[in-house]
Amino acid sequence: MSDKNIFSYPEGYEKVKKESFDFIPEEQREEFMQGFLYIITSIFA
Amino acid sequence: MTKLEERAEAYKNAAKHIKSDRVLNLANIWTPVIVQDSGFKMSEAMFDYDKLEQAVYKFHDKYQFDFYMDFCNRNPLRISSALGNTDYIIDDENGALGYATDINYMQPEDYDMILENYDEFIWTKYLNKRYQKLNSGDAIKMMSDAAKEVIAFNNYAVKINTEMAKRDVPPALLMGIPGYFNFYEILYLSLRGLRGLSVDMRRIPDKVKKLCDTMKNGNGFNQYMAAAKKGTNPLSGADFAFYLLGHNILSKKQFEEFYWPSLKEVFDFAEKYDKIVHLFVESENSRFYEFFAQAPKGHVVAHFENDNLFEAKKQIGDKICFCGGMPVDLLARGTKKECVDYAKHLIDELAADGGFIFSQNKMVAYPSDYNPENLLAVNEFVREYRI
Repeated sequence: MSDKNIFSYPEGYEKVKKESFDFIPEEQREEFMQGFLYIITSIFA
Repeated sequence: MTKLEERAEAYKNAAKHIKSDRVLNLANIWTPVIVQDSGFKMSEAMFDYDKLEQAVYKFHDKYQFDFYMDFCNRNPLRISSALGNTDYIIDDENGALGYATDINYMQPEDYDMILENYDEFIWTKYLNKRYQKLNSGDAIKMMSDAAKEVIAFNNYAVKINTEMAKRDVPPALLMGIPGYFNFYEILYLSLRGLRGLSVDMRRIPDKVKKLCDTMKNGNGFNQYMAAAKKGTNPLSGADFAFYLLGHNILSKKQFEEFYWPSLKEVFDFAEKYDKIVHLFVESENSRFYEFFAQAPKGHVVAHFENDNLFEAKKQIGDKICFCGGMPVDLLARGTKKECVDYAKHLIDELAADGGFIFSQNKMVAYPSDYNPENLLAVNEFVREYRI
């Protein structure tokens, strides 16, 4: 998958969890993703 | 009991209309002012957590508020910058931090998709519009960098709240305690924007209502409610906060239709679990007072922005604790005596039976919003005055 397909779901979503969040323990990545999306979609970001 | 716990208890007593001898003073003063009043340039400090931290300490040393809305957590620009966003303007000369005035990252046909799967909508339709450089850059690396910035931002929030606790100041209402927007606000502020949402409420009201009713106060608040234990946190003032910003475009009828169900959920939860919620309520709200009058007494603090609090108290009574009242215009352009006289008037009229927390009526977000000498005089008065 190229980076252009990063916005596919759930494939791109899972790819970011696996590759972009690789420094986070695997079992914590989904919870982290929810917090990550909350912040980057907020009005303040 | 520590001094921090005393401050937290005083906040709770105000919420419950228990009279105390002194009124608490909450800083409705935000990052750009805290940074510049402390001698930093925004263009330097906004990307440097050490400078933001020092700015908060200097500001507190100078003004000695009891509570703060913001410990310089409002604008996590390092996160959005890592995603390539430059949709903000830092103006050091005028002390301004500006954003685009309206947004629109969804279309009317997206309501059904959001209902079906919000994550899928955000992932496939939202992110590439809001963060357009993800389309052409190394998106995997940019997401990774942004994730590390989220961790750095959260670490800063933990550190500044911990350090301010050592200075006897309870957690800030933003990022110190849980804070939420209902889904109408998410539509207004983050997804559809003012114009788009206004049109949708006229053209496709059923879709807007169905989404607002279904999503109510969002997944974050659902998780908070699910994990909640009965009782209030002795180390904070409020237990959680809600921000009411986009309701200002609604008529009373629209408020009842699109907004009230989610606000009622907050009221019901606060009463059932013995929590205190701090409502940050922008604009003028007199047409909505009958809804605020349904708040469970002792559980709701409402910081009204443009309201005449004397009139609000007559109409809403003791169902909520009022917060705010000090006119920013007066702080900016009045004399010290005028400011202190008005502060005394507010406290004498609103705090006689408890139920009042002193603060600036509007967000103080620009250097032109206040005269530091007036703010110092008012804070000294509020600190020393006994009811």
